[in-house]
Amino acid sequence: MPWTSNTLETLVSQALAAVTQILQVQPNAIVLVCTKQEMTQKVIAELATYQLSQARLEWYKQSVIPFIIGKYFLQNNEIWLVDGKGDKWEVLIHELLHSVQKCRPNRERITDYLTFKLTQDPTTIDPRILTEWNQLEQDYGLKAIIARFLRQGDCEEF
Amino acid sequence: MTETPSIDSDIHNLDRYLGSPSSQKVLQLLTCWETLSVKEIALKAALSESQVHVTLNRLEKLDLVVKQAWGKYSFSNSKFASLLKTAYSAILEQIIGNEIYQLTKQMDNIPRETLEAQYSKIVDQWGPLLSAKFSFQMNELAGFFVEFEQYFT
Repeated sequence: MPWTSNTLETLVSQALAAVTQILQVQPNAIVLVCTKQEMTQKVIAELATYQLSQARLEWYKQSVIPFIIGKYFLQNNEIWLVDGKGDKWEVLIHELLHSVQKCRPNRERITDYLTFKLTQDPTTIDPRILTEWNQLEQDYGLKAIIARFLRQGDCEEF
Repeated sequence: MTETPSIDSDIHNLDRYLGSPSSQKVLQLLTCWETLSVKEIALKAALSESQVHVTLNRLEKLDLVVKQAWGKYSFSNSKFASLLKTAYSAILEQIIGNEIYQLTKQMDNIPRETLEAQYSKIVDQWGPLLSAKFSFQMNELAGFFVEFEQYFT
């Protein structure tokens, strides 16, 4: 069973405060830590609802699910973080942002940029994406980027 | 007996040791996976097994790779091989980072099948380094594929 802990709750409180401060919207997703196996089972259960072929499900099991270390699940408004891998500040911030994100498509680069703004961690964003979005911020301002993030439609259409 | 190349004397002749594109590919793969069989290298590098044999023989003569007792190949323990592996690690991070960037850049704009094929190629080639060095980016890509099913299936 996925679990929480005092350490996680402290991390979540700080992350919620940081995300709320920049977005002016408070995420309300429940955050839990899970084992790698639990994450695998959870994602497979989600995929099972889409009636995929066996070959496609195998592809997910072999090539996709092993790389999932943190995920927001829309169906039950939960964020699961894999113990020892995904229970990190930058992954939590990224998933909390996804939990309130309204725009799509092109949803990742804008989330990467906001994750970087909140974490200042250069490993969370490709330098080229950072340059592109720094320019967008100069052109339109951070408020416009956040408004774009919280509104339906293409995340990169300003 | 193979003479170990002298780094000082041969540093200006680096091409000889890095060798052909096939040698570079083999060395990149061994940097990433540590040990691989001829068949595994052939599959990951899209080379024929005979091409891989020729390449590995050349690299063995240069004392850059060794055949392990169980038939798989790895970098040798020579100082030059060790330096080369370190250099390749840095190069690989750039190569993989670039491949992930290109994939991320076009993931909403190319056919799903193409995207999956490109993603699978990256995973097949660089699996261990993806988890070690690009866990954040790979989590994002993996999450994207699952989300895709949610919104478009």
